[in-house]
Amino acid sequence: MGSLAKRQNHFVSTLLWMIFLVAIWEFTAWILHSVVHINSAETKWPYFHDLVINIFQNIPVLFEQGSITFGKAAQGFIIGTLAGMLLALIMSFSKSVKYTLSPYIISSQMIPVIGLAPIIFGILRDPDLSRIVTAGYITFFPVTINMLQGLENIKPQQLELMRSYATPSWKMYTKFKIIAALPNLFSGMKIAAPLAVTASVVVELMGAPNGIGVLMLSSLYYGEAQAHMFWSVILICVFIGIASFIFILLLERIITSWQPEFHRERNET
Amino acid sequence: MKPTSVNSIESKQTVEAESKLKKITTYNWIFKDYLFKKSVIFPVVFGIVFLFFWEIKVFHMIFNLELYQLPTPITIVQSMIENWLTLMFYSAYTGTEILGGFILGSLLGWIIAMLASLFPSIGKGGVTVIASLNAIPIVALSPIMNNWFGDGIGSRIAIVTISTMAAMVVNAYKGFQSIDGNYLDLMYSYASRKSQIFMLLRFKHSLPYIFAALRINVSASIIAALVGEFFISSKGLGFLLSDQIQIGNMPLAWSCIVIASLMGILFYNAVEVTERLCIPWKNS
Amino acid sequence: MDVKLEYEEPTVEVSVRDVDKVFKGKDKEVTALKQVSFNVHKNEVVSLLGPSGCGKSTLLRLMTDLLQPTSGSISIEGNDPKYARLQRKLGIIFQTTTLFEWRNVKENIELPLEIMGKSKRERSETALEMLELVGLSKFMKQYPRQLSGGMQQRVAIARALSLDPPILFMDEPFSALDEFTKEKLHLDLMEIKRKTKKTIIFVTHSIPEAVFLSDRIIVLSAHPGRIHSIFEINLGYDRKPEIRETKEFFDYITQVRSCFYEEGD
Ligand SMILES: Nc1ncnc2c1ncn2[C@@H]1O[C@H](COP(=O)(O)OP(=O)(O)OP(=O)(O)O)[C@@H](O)[C@H]1O
Ligand SMILES: [Mg+2]
Repeated sequence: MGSLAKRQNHFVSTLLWMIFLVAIWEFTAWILHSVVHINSAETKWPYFHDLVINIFQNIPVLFEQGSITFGKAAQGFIIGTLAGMLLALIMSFSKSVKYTLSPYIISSQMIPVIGLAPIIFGILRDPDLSRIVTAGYITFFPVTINMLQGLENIKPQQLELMRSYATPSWKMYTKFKIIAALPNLFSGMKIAAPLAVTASVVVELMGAPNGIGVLMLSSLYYGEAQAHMFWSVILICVFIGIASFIFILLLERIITSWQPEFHRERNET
Repeated sequence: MKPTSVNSIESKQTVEAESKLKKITTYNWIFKDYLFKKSVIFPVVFGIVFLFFWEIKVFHMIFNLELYQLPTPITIVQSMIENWLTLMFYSAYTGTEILGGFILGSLLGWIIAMLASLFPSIGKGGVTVIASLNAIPIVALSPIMNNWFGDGIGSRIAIVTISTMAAMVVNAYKGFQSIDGNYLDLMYSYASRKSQIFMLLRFKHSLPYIFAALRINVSASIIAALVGEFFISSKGLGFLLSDQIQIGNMPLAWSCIVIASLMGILFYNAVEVTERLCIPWKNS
Repeated sequence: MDVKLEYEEPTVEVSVRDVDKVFKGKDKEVTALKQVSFNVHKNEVVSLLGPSGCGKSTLLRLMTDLLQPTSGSISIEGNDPKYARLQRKLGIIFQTTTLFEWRNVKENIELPLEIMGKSKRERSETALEMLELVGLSKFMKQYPRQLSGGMQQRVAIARALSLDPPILFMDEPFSALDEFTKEKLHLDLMEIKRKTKKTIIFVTHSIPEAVFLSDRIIVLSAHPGRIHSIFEINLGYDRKPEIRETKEFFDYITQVRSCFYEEGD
């Protein structure tokens, strides 16, 4: 079986699973609505097709609010990524900076950095800026860690080869080290992308005037009457998270197309 | 010529031996090998200076902040001491959510990964679908879980379960599947049963991957619990955090962050110690 | 006449008859082996020698039931390879050591016995015996990663021997080792052969290695893989390292090497 056929197979099986899960969803909804008659079935488990209809009916407002949330998250994400790359570069350049900061950067993996989101909102009191800052610093940590790992894990032989060409140290970075670290940078970005969306929504829940989080709160407030709207908002939220992840994935494929896992020719039997 | 060269090599060796002896002195232990190592002293000094600047309000001056926006470290500690009983109670509450969800989610993820690797032709697509759970913003989950499980502890355990499951499925599946073909051939040549291949090969091989997932899940579970409590809850560190910010009691809000962070560091290290115990062949 | 009466027909241990192996790819077919036939007798060491890609590993995998021939037949002790595998009569040693890194040396050697469901005591006894045989008794509590490459390969040999299989199948077992370790292991293998009376089928691409170890060398040529020629190596049963310096040894090497050159033009 060729790699193409394998990938197609995988795609088909993923698609089948999605269809299967939607079917399960509909079936469960039918059970809850029409067989066991639970209380407030609409809020607990609406029919999937109702939600799709609702999303299409409310596309303008969902799109508008969704793009606000996504836009703020994306701005913060870009700033956070750039800052993370910069710090990783500085840390790989200067041993002292690395010694000083790495324990803190590493422990950022262990602590719930998102907990600071409400505090940042409390400090800044500006919804737009808070969203950007929160999404930014949440992106910052994983990007820094992964980028630094990439810069440090370069094979010594490759470094020696570059040195033997008498490459100046800045060129070493622009021509070689940064490129070699790109796969790691992308894995950091893939971790960060959904978190940046979460960050943005959390700030909205704390009291921003617009965005998908506000829509979520208001539809929750109206309870049963807006149950479909509430679920649609959630689905949009999930969609934004997954879309941002896939966007980074595609970006990775384009920028680091040399990575072996993107074109595996020989298959295992 | 020859004897002298031999002599010089010998003398060089004795010099080396002596220098090795020197290394063990206390002086060297304190100033070179351990205490005054750059990797220890630099971050400690940095941390102290940072806290000191914060305390004397350097950051307040730079960013034009007031004390009610950013409390100083000492007021945070004071507030922690004053409210220790509440904080302890809420930490235990949130800790239960975290631990409960962490265990449930990791276990569930492990079982799903195992099933998927038993039937890889169907399972692989399922793993991809579950991996997409990773990309779901946790906030989206919390109102749903509130609908289903009410505003009690169960709702947050469910949120933590879902957000820890995906990483475990993806990692454990990789651990079960990423086995060099020669090992499978070897097991095949012994005419081993599928269950033996799983127990003797796949399971052991997956352990490092499983611990990688557990390490990722430490902060994921804490984040999920906190964010879940931001929403609709009347107890827990996340509730206290958002509640205190609403009423402007910043020192107590910061206390929640500090405690959650300490919990995270403790939890993470507990996972690492367990890992070292469970995977002795990696680090002896 | 008297001589002829003493002559005993050697038992055929492995028999390969008219074997073809074709790998079917998505868009192309690779004929890895074409019309391969040979016998391996009891207590014989036979090397499969040839350039990379000529199908040596494929042939070995066919004999060990890891692959099925496209046509032709293979028998091991008169039965098909699958039967031999189910009887746990195959001892396979790969180029990479394929030791289980979470098991110490002794536990690695016990692995096949554990799979067979042997009792703990029996497992332990056999493992200790095998450790003795390969000279690693002192290291039985070590993890594989704490051993050198040569020692790891000796553990792999001990593991294969623990099943007491009549035949050892070795796929370039020493290729990844340095020259000194390799020569040491050649002698070890000689001794193991002498002590255990195993039949050995040995894949290699090193001519001196093949000459030193084998009673017979089967030279394969590539594209498609088929038997080019077969050499009998009459250097005695138990070979000492000094053999490497004899004229006969060099003559054999020259002989074997020449068949690669006539092909290469
Ligand atoms: N699973 C497979 N699918 C397709 N082609 C294969 C497969 N295994 C081997 N081949 C092809 O069969 C031929 C013989 O391969 P084989 O591995 O047996 O060679 P070899 O003599 O062992 O080489 P080496 O010395 O490099 O180990 C090669 O052309 C190889 O590409
Ligand atoms: Mg081979």
